[in-house]
This record gives sequence, structure tokens and C-alpha cells, in this order.
Amino acid sequence: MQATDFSKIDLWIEQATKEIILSEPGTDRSQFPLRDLLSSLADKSKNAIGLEEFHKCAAFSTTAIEEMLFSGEPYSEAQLELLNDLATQLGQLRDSPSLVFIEPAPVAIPSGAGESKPEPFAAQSAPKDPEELNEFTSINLEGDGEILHEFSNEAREHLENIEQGILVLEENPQDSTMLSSIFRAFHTFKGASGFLRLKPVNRLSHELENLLDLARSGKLELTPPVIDIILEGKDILKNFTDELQLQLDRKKPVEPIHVPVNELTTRVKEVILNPHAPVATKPSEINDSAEPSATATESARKSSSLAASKSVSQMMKVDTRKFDSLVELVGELVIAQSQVSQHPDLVGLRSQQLARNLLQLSQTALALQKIAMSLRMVAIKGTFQKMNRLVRDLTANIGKDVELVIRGEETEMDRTMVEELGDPLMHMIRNSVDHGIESSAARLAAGKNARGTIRLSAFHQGGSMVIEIADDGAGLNKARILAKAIERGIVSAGAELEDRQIHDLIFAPGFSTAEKITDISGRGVGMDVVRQNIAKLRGKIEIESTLGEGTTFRIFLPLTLAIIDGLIARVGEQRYIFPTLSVCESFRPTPEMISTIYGKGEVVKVRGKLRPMLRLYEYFKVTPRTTNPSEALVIVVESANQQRCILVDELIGKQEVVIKSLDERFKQNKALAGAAILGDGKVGLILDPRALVNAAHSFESRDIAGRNQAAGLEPATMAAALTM
Amino acid sequence: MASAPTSAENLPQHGTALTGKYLTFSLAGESYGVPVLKVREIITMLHITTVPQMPPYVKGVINLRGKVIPVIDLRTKLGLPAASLTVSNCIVVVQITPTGMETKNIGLIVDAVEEVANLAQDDIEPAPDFGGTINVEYLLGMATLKGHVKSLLDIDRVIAIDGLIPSLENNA
Repeated sequence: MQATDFSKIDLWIEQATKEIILSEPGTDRSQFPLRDLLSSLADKSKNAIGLEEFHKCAAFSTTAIEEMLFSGEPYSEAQLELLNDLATQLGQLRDSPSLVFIEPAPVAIPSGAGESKPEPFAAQSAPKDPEELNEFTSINLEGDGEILHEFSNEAREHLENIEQGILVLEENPQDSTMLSSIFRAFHTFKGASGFLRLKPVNRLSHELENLLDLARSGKLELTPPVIDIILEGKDILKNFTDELQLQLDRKKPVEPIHVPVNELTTRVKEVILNPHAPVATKPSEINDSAEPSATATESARKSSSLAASKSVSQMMKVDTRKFDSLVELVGELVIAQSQVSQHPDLVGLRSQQLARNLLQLSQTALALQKIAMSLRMVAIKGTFQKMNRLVRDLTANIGKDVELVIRGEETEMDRTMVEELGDPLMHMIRNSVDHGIESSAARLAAGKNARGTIRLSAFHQGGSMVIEIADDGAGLNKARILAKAIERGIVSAGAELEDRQIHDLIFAPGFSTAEKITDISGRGVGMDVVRQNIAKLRGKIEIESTLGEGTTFRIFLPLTLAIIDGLIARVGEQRYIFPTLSVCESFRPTPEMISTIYGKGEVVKVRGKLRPMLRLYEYFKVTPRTTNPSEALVIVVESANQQRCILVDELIGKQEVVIKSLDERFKQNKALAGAAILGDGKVGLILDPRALVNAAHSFESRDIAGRNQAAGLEPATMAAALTM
Repeated sequence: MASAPTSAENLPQHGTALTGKYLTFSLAGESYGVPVLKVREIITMLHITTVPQMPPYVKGVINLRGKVIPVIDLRTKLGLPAASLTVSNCIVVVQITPTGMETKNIGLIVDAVEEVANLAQDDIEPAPDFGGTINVEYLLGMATLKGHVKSLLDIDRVIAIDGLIPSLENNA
């Protein structure tokens, strides 16, 4: 009894699936063979233990195909879809007997060609290729909004898994767990898209699933062309998901999305039809892998579902608002705790018990804060692995031999930063491959290994995160950079520059030394955007390069966007926070150091260089403790390689603070980057170094006008208040 | 103020729509009310961090249990004579929904909080056009309670009629 021949059933399911895939609407090919296969399946599964539901499905399918046969009409699209669904269900029911067969809605027998309903947009853009028409899918935001959101979120995860998996498979095509996991990902994609009626997506994921299934059963070898197909498919799905997200976020008008799947599905079908690998159609592996004993499949299923749940159960999705409240409240708890512990009434008490309890409280509060902050952190792995793909594609494109060595991918950083870092990193890796690494011939001529190496590493260093991109290429050519910069008018001819400054020129807007513009890089929009992006993340970037030996870019970033390491300065009663990363130094100026340049404002001479000075109390119009600079303190801030001296009363400490955003109405003051709650529970304002540097700059150029504006501010707002 | 950002159609009409509970408070000897549903909480005066380059009625920001929220001096905002802040002042935290933006909390400095009054339809009448210090656009209506007249404020409008961003730039 137990000896139900599963291998036969599997084979038939597979053949039936193939038949359905290969059938096109409008033909009647495969109706007969399909009928035979389905009815054999129904016969075989009759009375088989564990296949009751499977039998129902097979019997239903047989009836369905018979109806189609007898109607004498070729397949309609709806019918094919129905058959497809049925075949999928057959596969699922075969795999898990616990599932229940769901009878699909009956499909009308086509009478002529009336069945295929035209999509609503067809009317507006009539002369569209009918082939292309079925590549469009419209989404129903009203009805499916929630599900679509869910779909989009999950799709993203699946796509990431697919991408990472494929890269692993490329190295090791025998990795069956990885293969199964990719297969599952496409399978889920197919199921969800089918449910949401995203037809082209459904079709494509279905084909890819079939392809992977072939590979899974050992009938198809994962050669590079096959992998390329899968990656391409993944890209199409990714583009679709991105577009969908845009529309869901209302960043784009809701319109049917074009998913260019036809060409690829055809190719996939071709591969499925004749797999390159010389594997017989009836391979012995099938019998090996699908043991006819129920216990073996049972245990295999168990282990695979275990593996699947293992990767899922460790993550939990949390509403960001809840999360933010948690972080806020934990911050308050820590402040309240320190206020209680340091309360003068308590300090006077000499109770050991109390001291112990307070210590316990403070330790717990701090541990809690640490955990709360770490919740935001994720490993940088995902972003790094994308670079793997990038290098792979680039090298294939431009015919260079480059190896990417990744280190420290487990290093954790703020989730938003990991996402924001993707683009700049991509730019830089591209640059390294395109400009940094020489061609193999040139490398050999220079006595180097023909294969270039780019090392991408991440590590922590003194409270910040460092990402290093090091190539063993030609290095930066200072003479050429300088010549180019002069030609572009970025620096004046004859300017004396240090090495570091010359290297920094590549970050100047409009700079590009690539002799010819490739589609990869050389448009001169790269590096300055990279620097801007890094600055936005409150980081900085440094270059180290030796001609002929290679270039190293080092990106320094704060560990998280939520916390900033700040220097707290006092001006009068107010406390302001300077981001430590942007502060170069601070000192008390002597009267000789300060001079006024008529019409240009005040400058401070710092080690022989003149830096414009901004009196913060004047700029912010607060009352300082002193207006005499030699009784106050100057803080030198740097932004985009420009330095300004900011005059404050005194520095009162260095502290890590949690950044809070300020209300909209404060945004007009560009000098404010946010607010933070200081140790005593009061609010301090975080200053934006970029704005301060620019403010000092505008003082320099506008001078009196700037002061007048500042003075004119109050009457203006008074007037505003009165007109209300 | 023809271009007031809030749309007039959305405002409750005088009469039944205005009945309900109001939090009343005093400002420069007068009594005012805001719908109690708008009020999140009432806190005692605490340290306000001044934000530079803001119009005089924006007092600054406070730490409300870990959230940084702006605080507005309602006297200045309504054009009433300013007074120095004392411990008897209160901050009424209201929740407002500016058009096209997310709901947010804003603190209003008032002289003192009086009571929560239940206003019936008979207690409320439309705001008269009295062209005094107070612009009627701010008002939902007037209420008479135990012989005292209270101005009912449309707090979303009080906050929304801002004028500060454009005027700063225009005059610069």
C-alpha cells in the first residue's frame, strides 16, 4: 500500500506543468497529452494515503481539461491560468498532504476571442504592440493597499535573499540549501503576485521557479548564462517592486506598471525546453532524491521548513513610532535616574542599602538604554553583498579582472545609514573598478598580479564606523588631477597645494579625469555627490594614495544617526551642541589674533592662516557672558574643507546625545540641525556646522547688510504678528 | 489675512457643533476656552530653551517626556500685553493638525488654567466683529458662563495663521 510510486507522480506533475507552460493562448497544443497526464495522476492518487486532497485536485483538473477539449476551442488565457494554478496546487499538495485543495472559480469556455478583457489603458494608447500589452499590470490601491504594502515589504526581503543566494550559487552550484531557498523565494513571489493579480510578475516568477526547480532536481546545470537569466529576472522583479513602492507612497501617480517580462520568459522557456546540461530526461537522480518512503520525504520536509523558520523567527517587525517612543522614554528614564541619584537630599544620606539600590537602578537603566539604541543597528552585510554583484557585472562589462574582498560585513550600524550608504559605495566601487584598477596588460607590465583586488572592509574605530575601499590599482595621478583642476577652473594655475588637497580635488563638483566618458563613470557627478551623501550622514571621507600602488578611501561615519557625539558650549544662558566630528580645535584667542577687515568682518589668525569669525551671540541674538573674545572661547568648525571660528562663552562638556528633530517652524533657522535632551532634562540645540560655515561666509561677503538683516528681523516679525 | 491656510468650510458651524467641554484659562485678565478634545495635558511651567531667530511669540522648546515640542506664548501671539513668566503660569499642551501635515503637539503658555466647562448651545454665540485687539478669525465663538464672557479659540487657526516664514524672507 505504502508503495505509492511518488517518482511517477512527480514526473507527471512536472510534465503536465511543462505542457502548460509551453502552451500559448490561442493554440490547442498539449490539450490531449495534458488530459492524459492529469487523468493518470488522478488514477494513481486514488486511494493513496496522504494524497486524498491531491486526488481531488487531479480529478478536478482532469474534468477541467476535458471540458476545454470538448469545447473544441483553443486555450484562452484564463483557462491557461486556471490550469497553471491547478498544476501549482498539485505540486503543493504533493509536497504537503496537510494542505487542502481549493477549487478555483470556473472559467468560461471562450466563445471566439471575447474572453481577453482589454486593460483600461488600452484605449488611451491604442497602437501598442499586443505582445507588450500583457506586460502591464495595474494595481488596485484602494482594495489591496494594505496587502500591496505587505507584498512590497516582503518582496524586498525575498529579492535580497535571491540576490545573495545566487552569488553563493555562482561560487558553488551544488549548494542545495541555497538553491531551495531561492526557489522558495520565487515561489512565494509567484503565490503573492498571483493572489494580487499582478499577472506579468506572476508569469515571470513562475517561469523562474520552474527553471530553479529543474536545477533543484539536477536536470539543469547552473551555468553562468543561467545565473544571468535568474539575476535578470530578479532585476525585473526588483524594478517592479521599486515602482510599486513609489506608487504606494504616492510619490508617483498610480498607473499600470510595465513589467518587461516577455523576452525573458521566452528565454527561460527555451532553457527549460532544452537544458544545456547533458542530463537525460529520465535521470536516475529523481529516484534517488525522491525516496518512495514517506518517512524520508517527511523528514526532509521537516528539516527544510525548520531551516526556513529559523531564518524568519529571529526577526520581528516593529512600528517605528512605537520604537521611537521606546527610545525616548528610555532616555527620559536615564535622566530621571541620574536626577534621583544626584539629588542633594539623597547625597546627604549615608545608607548603604540605598546606595546599592541606586547603583543597581543606574546600571539597569544604562543597560536598557544600550539595548534600546542597538535595536536600530543592522549588519552592513546586505549593502556589501550588493557590491559583489556590482563588481561581477562591471568586470564582465569592461573586461577587467577584479576581485572584491569583503571584510567585516558583520559590523553593525544604523539601519537608515546602511541604506543611505548603498549609493555612495556603489559610486566608489565603480570608480575603483573603472579608474583605479588598470587593465590586466598594464598590470602585468607594471609587475603586478593580472587580477586586481579591491578590499572593502568595515570596522569600528574610536566610536565611529570606518568603511575602507582599498584598490591595488594605479593610484591617483596628482599631476593629472592638478592639471585637470586648473583646466576646469577649480583651482588657479600656480596654486601651491599639499598632497591631501590635491587628492581632495576629485571631490570638487564637475571634476572628472576619465579620458573618456564610459557608461560606468566619468561624468564628473560622482565624487562630489559621494562626499555630499557622506556629509549628510554626518561623516567624512579621506583619501590615501600612492602612485602605482593603489588608492584607499576611508569613510568615517557615526555609529548611528540617532546619536551624535557633541561638544556642549555655553553662550550666556543658552547651551548649544557642536557635532564633535566637525570641530577641529578650540582655544582662547589673544587680542592680537583677532583683526577686523573693513567690510569683511572679523578674522582670527590660526597658525598663520586667517579664518573668518562668527560671534554666536551676535548671530543668535542672545546675551553672552562676555563680548570680549579674549575672555571667551573660539571653536574652529570645519565643513566641506572650509573652516570658520565660532565665538562662544565656554565649553562645558562632551556628551553623546540623542538627536530629536525640531518642529517645522524652526526649520527656517538653517543653523539648527536638531535638538537634544541634556543630562539635566533640559533641551539643548544642535548646530549645523555647514550652515555656520556658510553663515560666517555670508557675513564675510555681505557684512553690514547681514547685520542689518539680523537687526531688521524683529520689526519684520512684529509686523507679521500685528497683521494677524 | 485673506489667505489663511485653514479652509473655512471645515470649521464647525455655530450652534450644536460647538457644544461640549472646553478647558478655560485666563490671559491678561480675560477668559478663553479651547475644546477639551484638543488638549493633551496641562503641565506646570518648566525650563524653556530659547530658539534663536524666532518671532517673539515663539518662546522656544521644552522636553515633554523625551519629546521636544515648541512652546508659544499665547499672550504675544494674540497681541495681548506681555508679562514676565512666573511659576503660576501653565503650559497647555494641545494637539493640532496643520493642513497637509501630521498631528503634532504644541505648548501654549497661559496665565492660569481655570476649569473644564460644559457649554450648551444657549451659552454660545457667534463671535461679534468688534475690531479690537483680537482678530475674530481666531474665534470659534463667544460663550457666557456664570455671567462671564469667554472667547472660544480655534486653536488650529491660532497656530496656523503664522505669517512668519514668508514675512522673514520678504523683508530680508
